[in-house]
Amino acid sequence: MTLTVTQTLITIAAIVLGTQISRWLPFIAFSSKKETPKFVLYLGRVLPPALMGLIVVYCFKNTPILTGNHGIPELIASVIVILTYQWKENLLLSVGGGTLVYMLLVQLVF
Amino acid sequence: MKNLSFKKIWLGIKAAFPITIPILFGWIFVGITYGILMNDIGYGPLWAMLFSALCFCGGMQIAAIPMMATGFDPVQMLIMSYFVNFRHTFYGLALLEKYKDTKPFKPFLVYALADEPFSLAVSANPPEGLEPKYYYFGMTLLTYIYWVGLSGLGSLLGSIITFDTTGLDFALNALFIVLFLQQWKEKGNRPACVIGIAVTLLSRIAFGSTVFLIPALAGMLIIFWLGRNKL
Repeated sequence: MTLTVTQTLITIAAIVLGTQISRWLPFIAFSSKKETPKFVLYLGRVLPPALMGLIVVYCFKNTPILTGNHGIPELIASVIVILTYQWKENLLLSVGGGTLVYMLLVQLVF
Repeated sequence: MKNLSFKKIWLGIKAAFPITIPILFGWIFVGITYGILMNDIGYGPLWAMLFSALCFCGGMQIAAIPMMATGFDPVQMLIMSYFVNFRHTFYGLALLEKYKDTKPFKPFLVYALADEPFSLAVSANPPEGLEPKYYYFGMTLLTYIYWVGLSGLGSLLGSIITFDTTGLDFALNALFIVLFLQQWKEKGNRPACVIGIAVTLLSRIAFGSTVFLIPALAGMLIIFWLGRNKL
């Protein structure tokens, strides 16, 4: 430990504060007692699908496209997830199947 | 704590359990990695669990490790954790309505509003006959327990695990893809789905892998503002 116990606890507090501000801000700014502005309600409708798109891109942010294996294992496994989900609409089947294929690919093939 | 039914809490946990399984598996690898890295700079399992229980922000917790190894700088830590988790503000905006009537769970639901509970909440399909708040609480509580437990376990067992977990974290990517497809199924959501993917992708290409989320979120806000009468 580079830091002392007290310094570590202060560090934790700083991380908690920074994270919690980002999480609480909208709930404090638009409390349920007052009427929520129309634009914010509209954001509440369009943001969920848009943010799911953002998260999908975010979880592939370090996939190497131009170097290494060119993200081929990711591509194959993702296609399997999408196809099996269109076929059976079973979350666990698609997640489990896609993950298994991905693990086999990165451990044995690439 | 009146109007609070322990039976309903249990029902909520049971109903939410299946959709949290991918997170449990996805976090095994991340939890172990976190535990090992924390061990390397001198923090044992109890420390790892304390960080996880209080911070509950995996990405920032991992980012904090090299910073803690270099020295004491709480101000930088605070600023960084705000910006690393800046997207959570948008999660809150997206869930304002859903989380409106979630008393007395709301403080916990907001406290633990990380990527995974958020994406589950967005597509949540609470069972009939159970108030949605019990379901939201169940899935948030389970993901919270997984993260705290796995980071402690990872720190404890990290060095003796022989099973090759390489690639197990793809479970999270797969989960996010499925939850995205659930949004996509709704035809009215598709323009926003495309905007979300396209803007984030362009931002990733333009700004690199460390800072692209903030320009992506700003870009989305501008597009949604411009399209507010059309979307």
